[in-house]
This record gives sequence, structure tokens and C-alpha cells, in this order.
Amino acid sequence: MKKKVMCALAISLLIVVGIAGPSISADKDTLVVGVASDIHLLDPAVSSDNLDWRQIYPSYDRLVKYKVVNGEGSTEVEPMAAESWSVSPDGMMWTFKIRKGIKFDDGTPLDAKAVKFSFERVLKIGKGPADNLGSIKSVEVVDDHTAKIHLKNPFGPFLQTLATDASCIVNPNVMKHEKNGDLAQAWMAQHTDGSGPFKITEWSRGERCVLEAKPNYWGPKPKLKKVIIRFMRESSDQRMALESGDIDIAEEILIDQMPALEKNPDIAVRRYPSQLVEYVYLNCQKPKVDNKLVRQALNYAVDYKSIIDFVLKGNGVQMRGPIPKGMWGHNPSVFQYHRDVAKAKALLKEAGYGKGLNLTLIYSERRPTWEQIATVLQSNFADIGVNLKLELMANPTLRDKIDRGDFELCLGAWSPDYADPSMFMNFWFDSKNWGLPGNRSFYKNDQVDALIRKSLVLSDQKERTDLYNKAQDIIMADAPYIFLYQTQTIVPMRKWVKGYVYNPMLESMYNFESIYKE
Amino acid sequence: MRILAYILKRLGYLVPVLIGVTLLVFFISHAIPGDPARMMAGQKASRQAVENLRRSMGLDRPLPEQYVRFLWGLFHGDLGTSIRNQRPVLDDLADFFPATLELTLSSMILCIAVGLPLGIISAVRRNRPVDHISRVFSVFGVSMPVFWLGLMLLLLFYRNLGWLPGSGRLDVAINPPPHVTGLYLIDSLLEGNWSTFVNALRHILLPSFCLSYVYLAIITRIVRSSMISVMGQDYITTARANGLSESTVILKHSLKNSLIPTVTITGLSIGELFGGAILTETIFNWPGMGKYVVDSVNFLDFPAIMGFTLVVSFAYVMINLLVDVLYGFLDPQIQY
Repeated sequence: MKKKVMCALAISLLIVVGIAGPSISADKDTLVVGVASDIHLLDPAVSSDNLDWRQIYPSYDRLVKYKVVNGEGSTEVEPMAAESWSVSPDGMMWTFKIRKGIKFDDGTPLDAKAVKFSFERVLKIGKGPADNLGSIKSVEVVDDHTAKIHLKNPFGPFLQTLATDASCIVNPNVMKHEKNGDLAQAWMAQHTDGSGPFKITEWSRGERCVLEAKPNYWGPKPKLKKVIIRFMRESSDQRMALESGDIDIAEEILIDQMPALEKNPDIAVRRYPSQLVEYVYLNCQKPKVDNKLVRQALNYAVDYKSIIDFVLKGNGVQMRGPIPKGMWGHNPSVFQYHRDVAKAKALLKEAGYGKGLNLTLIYSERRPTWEQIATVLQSNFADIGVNLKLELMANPTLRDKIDRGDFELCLGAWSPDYADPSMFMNFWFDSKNWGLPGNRSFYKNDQVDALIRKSLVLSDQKERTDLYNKAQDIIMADAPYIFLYQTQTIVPMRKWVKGYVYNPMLESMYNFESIYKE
Repeated sequence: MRILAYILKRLGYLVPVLIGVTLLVFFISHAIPGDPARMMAGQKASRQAVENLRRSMGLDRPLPEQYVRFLWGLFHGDLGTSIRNQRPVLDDLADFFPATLELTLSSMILCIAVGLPLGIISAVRRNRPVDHISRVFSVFGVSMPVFWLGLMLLLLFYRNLGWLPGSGRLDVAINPPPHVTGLYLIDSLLEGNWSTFVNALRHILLPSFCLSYVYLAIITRIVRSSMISVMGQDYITTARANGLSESTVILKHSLKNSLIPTVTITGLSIGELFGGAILTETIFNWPGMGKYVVDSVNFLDFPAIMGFTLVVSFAYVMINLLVDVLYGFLDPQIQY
């Protein structure tokens, strides 16, 4: 009996040891990126998620693309599928000359008809991405290689919106997959049909997505043959896989693990100033918070430096004004709040809350930083006699409350979809955008409305900046938000990964076409 | 024949049980404040975009109507369309279910293949070193939290020793075997691809051990205690007195009679393994239903939540039925 048992044990141990060994890593032509969550869907007309765009974007061409200057991503655009363009003096009509010889996989040419089809499809479907193209009235096919786009009104950032994921040019033949008039949405949710440098060849749900380079791409040939996106939810998993070389880039490693990673000689922890900002919405329509003095007092109570040092381990800078550094229109001389407890107390007293007051902050666990920020704010506010109650809730519930304005204070994060200060100024402050679409502090100031609306329809950068600067001065005094900080994007990768370019407009999206491994 | 009637009767009960489950889950999940159309449209979406989405998903209808529509679809074999992926829930589940099934089955096999013999040895060699070791082993099992055990296993076998892979079902550079059952271990054997099989086996070892450890420990303890009580019975003494060999006494007379509680626990464990796979799948990045449902809940993806609940409760009911039927084979005194 005993012998048999020992035998069985020995055999099973042998099996375990026999199959143990290092795992098989990818070769030089293959880039492996570890990311935290699965893709949802692949339709550029439906997805509003950067994590989907990561796969969609390299599968398509767009009329224009972001320039790379000295190895750095810029927010200026340059030709891609469009060779050149011109705009009418009133800014209402754009004419694009389309490059000849670009073909989709089935041989269909990418022409003016394809452009018209793609943009109209996005607008007809009318889901999230349609907002980016909302200024388009109609697309006119002049000839095969000339498209005229008519706008509803002059729109300063129009060209920038053409570099977003919503503006991917889709093969008109996808319509043969249409079912029940869905404009091929069901099929497009799971397939791509573009002329971009890569093509999705496999998508095993929850496991990985494989993109393969197209050997006959019209533009510069990609150096990689294959990109594998691996879905790994746990930060610690990603870290271990990166350290053992199983993955080349890790997208979601928690900030407190970075110092340890930096000690590894095979790993480069790259940091880039991002346009992602975190801030607090102060609901201007709620009693107590509707008082400008209270909002100013709260702004003065916050210890900005401690939050950046404690929560971000120093990987961020305090915002100055609503437009972050790196975006044109950023005003380096606009008023900036700093911690001043005495002043904050005086303001509260002036507002009639000398004895203190109770407020509630809501937040969710969507961002790992929020729990910590909430605690710091609680203690900061306590210093000026404000008793802050913290309320953690599920993210869908939080969004619902924000949209209905059912809160006093709320934590938030924001990043621009295209390179234009209107992504901050018009979204955040226009009283038309109350609720989730952008004006989440339910702020209304007619003067500000007039200034920012005027700026949006102009195309001259200087004029627009002047208008925005005027608006910013009013906004800082009204203090509808507490601007905390602008973050850094941290991308840890193996040192053998070369050619990576970060672009703040393409958060979580990679320039696979020019990355290579050494 | 009686048993057949019994099975049919039990299957009949399945219908009200499942309807009850859908009713509960449907209204509880809709009670969560929040709007899936909002989640889907993206956080900056305009009102119009959200409204379009809500209408196209039928979320603008009154709740009872949505429920009746859901049931109607269910009777036609349609679980609805996932809000998040815009794809039939049935297809989603078909993609994720095999991975969970593979993990659950392999854990079950591990439970039985290790737990049963360990329990028997413990009972036979009661209070000897082997028994002590196995008891310590099982106390560890029942008391260790899964997520901690998982991380420790990863740390030791993946990071420090480098013996076993840490996540996923296959190494990055290996392509999945052609889809037959969806279980990589079986599909790779069918394909005759030995190296893929070994790779899949390496990948499943840690997660299935992690998942099974608790139940393995419970089974060991149950087998041990019921064996001990059975071995004290008079008929065992009689069997020994009749000169039967010790292995016949243990395996045939005592084991079979002590199996009823074991089968009960094993049956319950399979259900628990299905549900418990959520944590293990997260830690080992196993692309199964557990991860799928966690994401669905975070997104308020109602159809997906309903689909998952239905599959799990269906599996639970069926396993319990199987257990009840097994009783009859183990103990002829049990009548249906």
C-alpha cells in the first residue's frame, strides 16, 4: 500500500518537473503588449474607448495623421490618405485631394466615395464617435480623388478631429454584411476592414488579439511582422511577465511598483507628460457649493503638492488653469490656487460659514488614485472647518449621479479626444454641456459662454487664445472646479523596444508601424 | 424505470427554478442605479448619442416589458445581445465557457485524484506521520484565502523558480489548437500536437491547484472522518475475520460505504468551483466566464449578467441531480 502511494507520488512529481521549464517567448519580429482588459468591439463608428482604439486605429488609414517631430508625438497634423487640402475663406468648406493607389484588402480603392461612406456611416449610426464629426453637414464626391466636406458652421478644430479614431476610412464593401439595416454594425463589432498597416488576424476573447503587418502597405513598411495584445488584468502579473521577458510593453502597472521596476537593467520606465488631468467637480447648482466664496475657500484648502507627492509619487504637476501644459492655449500666467488655510477660513467666514459646514464627495474606484485623493481632501478640508463625507459608489452609479447633477463634490478625470483647447474650455464650461458631456460642475456664466462659443468658430489660433484667456480669468475667480494635477503617462517596456512614440492624443494607442525590437 | 421517472420529474422542476432565478437576477440587477447606455456611449457622449443607443438597445421600454422580451427570447434560445460587446450573449458565453469548464474539470479531477487517496491513507494510518502531514496540508487548504495562495504560487513557481508559466492558457508564441471542444488540453490531443498539449498542461497546473486546494482539503477531511467511522463498524471486523485482504476491506467495504457524504460534498464543490473560478481566473488571467461576468457587472451589461447566472444555475441544478442519482448506485437502500 505504502509503496504504491510513494510510487504514485514520485510519478506525479516527475510529471511536474518534466514539463517545467522556461516559457517560449516571442521572437524579434513580434511585439507583445500586456494590457489590463479585453477589447469590447472594433467598430470605429461605435466604440468610444481608447482600449478598443488601440486595435482599430492601426487597422485603418485616415485623411490626416499626427506629426512626429524629433521622435516625439506632436498635436499638429500632416497628410495621410489625403495628399493635400484647402479650406474656403469662410471656413465652411474643406476640399481634400486623396492619394492615389491606396487599396483595401479586397482591392477596392480608397477614394472619395469611401470617405463619404465612412463619415456618413458614423453620423447615421449616431453613437459616441458621431460627436467628433458632428460639425459635418455633408460630404460631396467631386471625382474619385477629390472630396468636399461641407460644415454646419466654421469649426476651429475640424482638421484635428480627422485624425481621431472616429475618422477611420472604412471599406464601403462592409455593407454586404449589413443585417436589418444596422449599417453592418454587428459585423464591424468583430472585424476590421481598412487599408491601415496592420490587420487583426485573431481575437481570442479574454486572451489575446493578434495584429499582422500587411506586406504591401502603401506607406512606410512596418518593421514588426506581428503584434500580440495580451489581456492580463493583474498589475502584478504584468510586472512579472515584463521582468521575465514574456511581454515587451506593460500598460497597466501600478505606480508604486515603478521604483522596483526601474532597478531592473533590462527595463526602461518611460515617462511622458500626458494631457490626462484629475480634478474635482464643485456642483454650482447645489446649496452651499453655489456660493463662489465657498468654492474659492475649497480651492485654497487643498494641499496640491502633497497630493502629487503622495498619490502620484511625484509623477505629475499641478494644473495652471483648465488647459494643460502641452496643449496650445495653455496660459502659463493665469491665476493658480495654492494652499492657504488662513485665507480659506476667512473666505468661509465671509460666506457665512464661519462655524464650518458639511459637504459630501462622491467617487468610484474607476481610477486607483481616487480613494487616496479623497482621503487627502478630507483631511485638507478639515483644516478649514469643512467636514467632508466620503461616499464610494459603483462607477455606473457615479456616472448617473454626475449626469443628473445629484452630488455636491465629485472626483473626475478627463483627457482630450483631439488636440484642441476646446476639449477643455468648451466641454467644461459651456452651459449647454451640463452633465456628463463635459460641464460637470453645472457652471453657468453668460460672459464665459459668449467668449468660448466665439472662440470655437474662429480658425485663427491667436484670436482664439485671446478669447480663451479672457474666459480663463473669469473661470479661475468663479472656481467651478478644483484643478488638481496633470498626470504623466508611464510606459514600462523592455529596453529592446525601439521607436516607440508617445502622443498625448493617442493615449493607450501605439505606433506599431514604426516600433521595432533590437 | 423508476429512476427515469425520477429524473424526468427533477428536470421538470428545473423550469420554475430557472424562471425564479431570472426573475430575481433581472430585477435586482436593474435596481442598481446607472445607465448602461451611458457606459456604452463613452463618458463625453452627447445626450443625443446616449438616447440613440438607449433606443437601439430597447432600454427605453418599461422594465416588465424588457423582462417579458427577455423570457420570450430565452424560450427561443436567444439570450439577447451583450451591451458592451454588441454581440449575442450566447456567442460570448460559448467563447468563455470552455476555459472555465476546462479549469473546473481539471480542478475536480485534482480534487478527487488527490483528495480521495489522501483521505483514505489518513484514515488507515490514523495518527501516524502520514496522517499528520495530510491533516496539516488540509488545514492549510481550508484556511488559506484563494487570492493569497494564487499570488504565492505565482511568486514561487513563476517568478522565483521559473518552472511554470504565470498567466493565460498558452505561451504567447503558441497558436491555440483548432476549435473542437474549446478545451485546449483535449483539442491539442485531438490535433496530435504534443507540444501544445504540454504547454496547455503547464499553464493549467497552477490555477487548477489554486482553485481546487480548498475543496481538495475538504474532501480529504470528509473522506478521512467518514472512513474512520465506517471502519469502526462491526461488518468491517467481520470482513477482516473472514480473512479478506486488507485492501479489499478498505477499498470495497469501507470506502464504498463512506462515499455518500463524499459524493454530496463533491457535487456541491463542482458548483462552488464554477462560481469560485472568478477569483482564480482573475489572478491567473484565465480567460473564462469569471472575468467576463466581473466586467459585465462593472458595465451593467444586463444581458451578459443574466446569461452567466443562467448557465451557472443550470449547471448547479444538473450536478445536484447527478449526485442524487449517484446515491442510488452507491447505496441500494435509497429508493426514488
